[in-house]
Amino acid sequence: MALANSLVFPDLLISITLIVVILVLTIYLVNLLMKLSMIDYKASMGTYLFVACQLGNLSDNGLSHIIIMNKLVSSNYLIICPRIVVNGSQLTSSIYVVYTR
Amino acid sequence: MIYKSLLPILIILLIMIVITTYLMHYVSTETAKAIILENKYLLSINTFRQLNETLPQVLQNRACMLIVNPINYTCNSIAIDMTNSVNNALSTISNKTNNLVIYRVVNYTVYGSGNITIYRVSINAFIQSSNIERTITVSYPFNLCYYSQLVREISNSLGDGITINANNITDAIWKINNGLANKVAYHGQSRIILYYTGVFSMIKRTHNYTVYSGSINYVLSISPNINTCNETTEITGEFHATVIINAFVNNTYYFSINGAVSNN
Repeated sequence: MALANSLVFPDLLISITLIVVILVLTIYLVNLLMKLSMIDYKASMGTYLFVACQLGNLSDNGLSHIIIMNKLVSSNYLIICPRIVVNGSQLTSSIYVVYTR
Repeated sequence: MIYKSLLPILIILLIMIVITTYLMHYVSTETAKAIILENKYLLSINTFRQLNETLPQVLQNRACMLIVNPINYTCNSIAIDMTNSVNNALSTISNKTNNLVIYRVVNYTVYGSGNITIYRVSINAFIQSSNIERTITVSYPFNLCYYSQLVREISNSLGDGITINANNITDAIWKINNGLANKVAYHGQSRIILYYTGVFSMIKRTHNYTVYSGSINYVLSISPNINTCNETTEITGEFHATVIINAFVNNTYYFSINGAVSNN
């Protein structure tokens, strides 16, 4: 018993509890920071696509993280890019909606 | 004691978590707002920009339609057709984006000014809190409105019959040629050629005058003097002509004329 008492002393239990708490909180913090950087990533991707759309060469060439749809599917899109082309003496318009994969 | 030294770390960790949670919430709502605003801005500005780029080509195509058929397809038809086309394109964008931005054509006009035709359309883009109004102006390097009017005027003037008074038949032929040349002698940026052919027959003769009646078939060929679209207007028709010779013409019961006059 004396051996057991000397092995599982109260300090050890408290230390383990504290370390577990710190670990959980750290994981939560890192998770939040990851989300922040994801938002930042989306924002910079959106800015890039904004410029690409303005220049009229919006495409998913070389961008493996985005998907371009031709209609609004859900509200979590990155950007909406309109495209108007001449079709004979008429105008035809379409839109590109960019989502993250 | 090991856990006493861990307490400050724990407290700092908790503070960091509170700050990060707040930051997360703030950044994600602001990002969502920014993305919506950016998209509305992008949608309206880019739509205007693309209309600016595409409308000259549409005007070009419409201009060719007018040059082929200037009598039925007028300047006003261009204005209406182009505005309809713009409206269709804009409503498609509005529909496909669940009315994120609603466009409305406020005003439109087509007019000829000097040597050019101008199409102007004002579009209002309604975004929830504000609206952006933009006017798009495109031009075509030829006065289509004047051209359309010119062709209609010449065509109308040829529809009326003519009566020629002359001293002899040679004089009559010269006067018909002259009269037709006057009808096409419009200045302007158009090449006009009128080919005509006609047959006259004597219908009345007295001792001091002879009357011939005939019909003149014509082909009126008009094209703009710029080659933006290689189209020519061709109008064919027929009009009645009466020739009165102020003399007794002895043995000419029939005569025919043909020729071509141009505005150059």
